[in-house]
Amino acid sequence: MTPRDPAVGARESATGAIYDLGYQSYDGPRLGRRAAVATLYWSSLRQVFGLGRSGRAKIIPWGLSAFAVIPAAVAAAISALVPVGGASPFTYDNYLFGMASILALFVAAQAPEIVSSDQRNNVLSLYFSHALSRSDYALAKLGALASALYLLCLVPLLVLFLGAVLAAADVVEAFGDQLENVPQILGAPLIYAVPLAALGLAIAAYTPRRAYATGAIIAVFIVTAAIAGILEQATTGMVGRIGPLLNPFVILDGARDWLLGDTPPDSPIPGMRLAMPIFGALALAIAAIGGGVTLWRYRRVQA
Amino acid sequence: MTAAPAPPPAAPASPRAAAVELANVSRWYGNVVAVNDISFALAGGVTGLLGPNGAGKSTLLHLIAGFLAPSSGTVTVAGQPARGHPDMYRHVGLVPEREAVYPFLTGTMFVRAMARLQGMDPPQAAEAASGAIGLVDMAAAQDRAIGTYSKGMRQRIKVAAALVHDPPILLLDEPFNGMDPRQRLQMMDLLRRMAAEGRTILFSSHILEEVERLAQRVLVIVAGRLAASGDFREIRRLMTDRPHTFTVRSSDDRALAATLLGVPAVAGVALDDGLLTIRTADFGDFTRVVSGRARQAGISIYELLPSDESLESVFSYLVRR
Amino acid sequence: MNPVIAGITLRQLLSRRRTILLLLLGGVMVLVALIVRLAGDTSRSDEFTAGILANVGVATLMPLVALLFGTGAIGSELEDGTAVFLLAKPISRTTILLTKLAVAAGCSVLIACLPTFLAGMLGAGGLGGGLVLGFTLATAIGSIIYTALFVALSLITSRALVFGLGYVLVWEGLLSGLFAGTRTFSVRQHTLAFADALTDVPGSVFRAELEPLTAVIVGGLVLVAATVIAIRRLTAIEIAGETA
Repeated sequence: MTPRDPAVGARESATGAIYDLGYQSYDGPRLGRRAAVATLYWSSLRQVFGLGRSGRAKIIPWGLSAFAVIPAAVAAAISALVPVGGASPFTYDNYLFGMASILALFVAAQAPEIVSSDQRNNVLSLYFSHALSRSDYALAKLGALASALYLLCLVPLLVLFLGAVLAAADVVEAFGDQLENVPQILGAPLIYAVPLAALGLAIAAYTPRRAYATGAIIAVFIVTAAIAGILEQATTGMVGRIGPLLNPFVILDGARDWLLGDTPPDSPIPGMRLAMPIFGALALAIAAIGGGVTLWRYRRVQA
Repeated sequence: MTAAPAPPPAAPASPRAAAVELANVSRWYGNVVAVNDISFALAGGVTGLLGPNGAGKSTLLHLIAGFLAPSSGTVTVAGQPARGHPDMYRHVGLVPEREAVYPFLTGTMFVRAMARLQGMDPPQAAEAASGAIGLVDMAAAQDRAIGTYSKGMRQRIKVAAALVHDPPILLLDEPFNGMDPRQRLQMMDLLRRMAAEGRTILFSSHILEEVERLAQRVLVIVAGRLAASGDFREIRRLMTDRPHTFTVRSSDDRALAATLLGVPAVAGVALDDGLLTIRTADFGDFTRVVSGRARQAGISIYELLPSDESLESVFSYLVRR
Repeated sequence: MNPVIAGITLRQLLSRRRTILLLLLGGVMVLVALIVRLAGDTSRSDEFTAGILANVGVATLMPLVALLFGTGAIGSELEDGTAVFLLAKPISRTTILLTKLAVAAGCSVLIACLPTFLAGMLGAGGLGGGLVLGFTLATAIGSIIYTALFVALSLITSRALVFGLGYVLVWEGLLSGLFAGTRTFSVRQHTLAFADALTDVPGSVFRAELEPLTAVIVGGLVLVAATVIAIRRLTAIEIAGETA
C-alpha cells in the first residue's frame, strides 16, 4: 500500500495542523471467497511444513519427511551402485504401509499445528467474519493437511521410480517399463493422504490444546494397531479375519491394493479373505466420516 | 469481618514497623533488567504502584509476594525475607492479576477453602468467609459457580479470598480490572477502610485516576526504576525545574498579566478566551509575590488555582524524563 | 496431606470430559478381552489375556492415564494461573506437592487398574491363577511411578505432555525394542517385571524382559528421585506476572 501523503486529509488551521497518520483505507479490488479459501489453504500448507516460522517449527515435519524419503533414497543408491543385487526390499506396494508410523506421527504432530492455535487464541471469529464460511475454513484445512500428506507419500515413491529408471543400463527402456507404475505412484498417496488427514483433523479440531490433540491422535493409532494385532493373533474365525481392519493403515493399504497395485508379501490382507471393494469402501468411509466430523465441529464451535 | 475469630496464632506485624521493606532490589532476566535498584518501605496506609505497562509493577509485586527471587537486594515482608517462608503468608493477602480462578467452585466454597488453607478450622472458615464475601458485596452470587461470574465479580471474590484471614498486608495487582465504576468506588471505599484500620495496602495500576483517588502515597515506576515516591502533590512541588501553571480570575486580567510579566519568577502569561494562565518557574517566589503586586495595581484576585497538579501531569513528566 | 488441596485437585483432575475419555479407553480394553474370549482359542486364553494386559494395558492405557493425571495435577494450575492461590498460603511446599501427587496417583491407579482387572477377568475367565491379580497390582505400582515421573516433568518444563509422550513412545516404545540397555530405565519394563514376579504363570504364558530385583531397585529410585525433584522445584518455583 502506498504511504499516504500526510498532508492529505490533514486538518489545518492558521496556527497548526493535525495529520491523519492512523487508519488507512483501502480502495483497491477486493478478491472474493475463492481467494480467501485459497489463501487459507496455502498458508495452512506452509504452516504444516513450518515454512515462514522459526527453525523449531520445521524440525518435526522435515525430520519425519527425511525419515520417509531416506530409505527409498538409500535403496535407490544401492541398486545404482550394486546393479547386480537382489530385488530391493522396497517396492511401490509395501513402502507406504511400511511408513505407517511416520505417517501417524506426522498427522499427530501437525494436525494440531494448523487447527489448535486458532482455537486457543480465539481468532476463529476473525476468520468467520470474512468471506470465509465455516465450512470453507474446515475444507481448506483438510485440503492443506491432505496435500501435505500427499507430498509426504509421493516423494519416496518418486525416488523409487527415479532410482529404478536411472540405475538401469538402458534408461529409456527402463522408463517405459516403469511407466505402468505411474498410476500407483500418483494414486496411492491420495488413498493414504485424504482419510488420514480427515481422521487427524477430526480429532484435533476438538481441543485447543495442542498436546492433548497430539496425544489423542497418537493414542488412537497405537490402540487400534495394538488391538488389531491382538485380534489377528489371538482369535479365529470371523473375528480373526476382520480384526486387522481396526488398524486404519490396513484399510488404506487394502484400498490401494484393490485399486492400484499388488499385495506385498507380508501383508495381512490375503489372510483376511475379504472382498477387496470392502477396503475401498472403508477407506472412503474414514475420509467421509472424518471430514464430516470436522465440518460439524467447525459449524458448531463457538467463535 | 472484624467480628470473625482470629486465625491461629501468629502475631500480626505491628503497623509501626515497616510491613514491607525493599532494599536495593534488582531483578534481571539475562540482559533484561525488569526491576532496577528499588528501595522503599511501607508501613500502613494505601500505596499505589503506578507505571506504564512493562515498567515492572507486576514483577515488583511478585517479588514482594515471594514468587520471584531478587537478583540482588533484599525483600522483607512482615519482618521476614519474602521467599522461602510460607509462614509469611499468614500476614499477607494477595490478589493476583490473572483472571483464572477455580471455575467449578462456588464463591463460598472458594473463599472457605482459602480460609481453611490459612489454617482456620471449618466453622471459623465458614464464618470468616461469609464476612469477607459480605464486605465485597458478593453475597447474592456466592452460591453460584465462579465459572459463571463476570470479570468484575471474579475480581471481587478474589479480594474476598485475600481478606478472609484478616491480613495486615494486602497486595493487589491491577485490582480494578474489569470493574464497573460503581464496583470500583465500593472497592476503593473498602480499601480505604482497611487502611484506616492500620493495614498496609499496596496496589498496582496504570490508570492514573484510580491511583489519584485512592492512594495516599504513590510509587512511580518507569522502566524498572523508582522515578518518584510520596504524595503526588509533594512530588509536583519538588519538580522545581518545570514551570508550574496557575489559572487566575481577577477584576482585571489584562492589567494583572501586564504587572506579573514584570516579576522575575513568572515565565509566561497567556490570556485565552478570558482565562488568564500564568507559568512560573519558581513556585515559592511567585506565591510570595503575586498578592502584593496585585494589590499594588489595585486588582482583586478572585481565584488562583494550580492547574497542573494532577497526577497526570506529574506522571507524564516523569515518564518522559 | 492437606484435605482442601486434595479436594480441589480431585475435582480438577476428574473433569467430565477427561474421565469419560479415559474410561472409554479402558472400556475398549475390556471389550477386546471379551472378544478374544468369545472368538479365540480358549485353551490359550491365559496367554492372550496376558498379551492384552501387557500390550494394551501396561503399554498404552497405564502411561496415557498417568500422563494426563500427572501433568494435570500441578501443570495445569501453573498454566492457568490458579497455582498462586495455593502457593501463597502458610503451607509447606512439600505438603502441597505430596497431596497433589497422592491424588493424581490415586486417580491413575483407579482408572488404570479397574479396566485391567475387568479385562483380565473376562479374558482369562476367572482369576487365571494369579494372572489377573498380579497384573492389576503391578499396574497399580507402575501407575504410581509413572505419575510421580510426570508430575516432576510438569515442574521442569511447560511442555511436559509432549515430552512425556516422547518418553513413552520413543524411549519405552522404539528404543527399548532396539537397545536392551534402555529397558532398565523403562517404567513399562519395570511394571512388566513386577507382573511377572507377582503372577505365577509359566513362561509360555508371559515373561518379562527385566529381572524383578532390578525393576524394584530402579523403579523405586525413579519414584523417589521424581518426588524429591518435584518437591525441590515447587519450593524454588518462580512465578512472574503476566504483564510487567
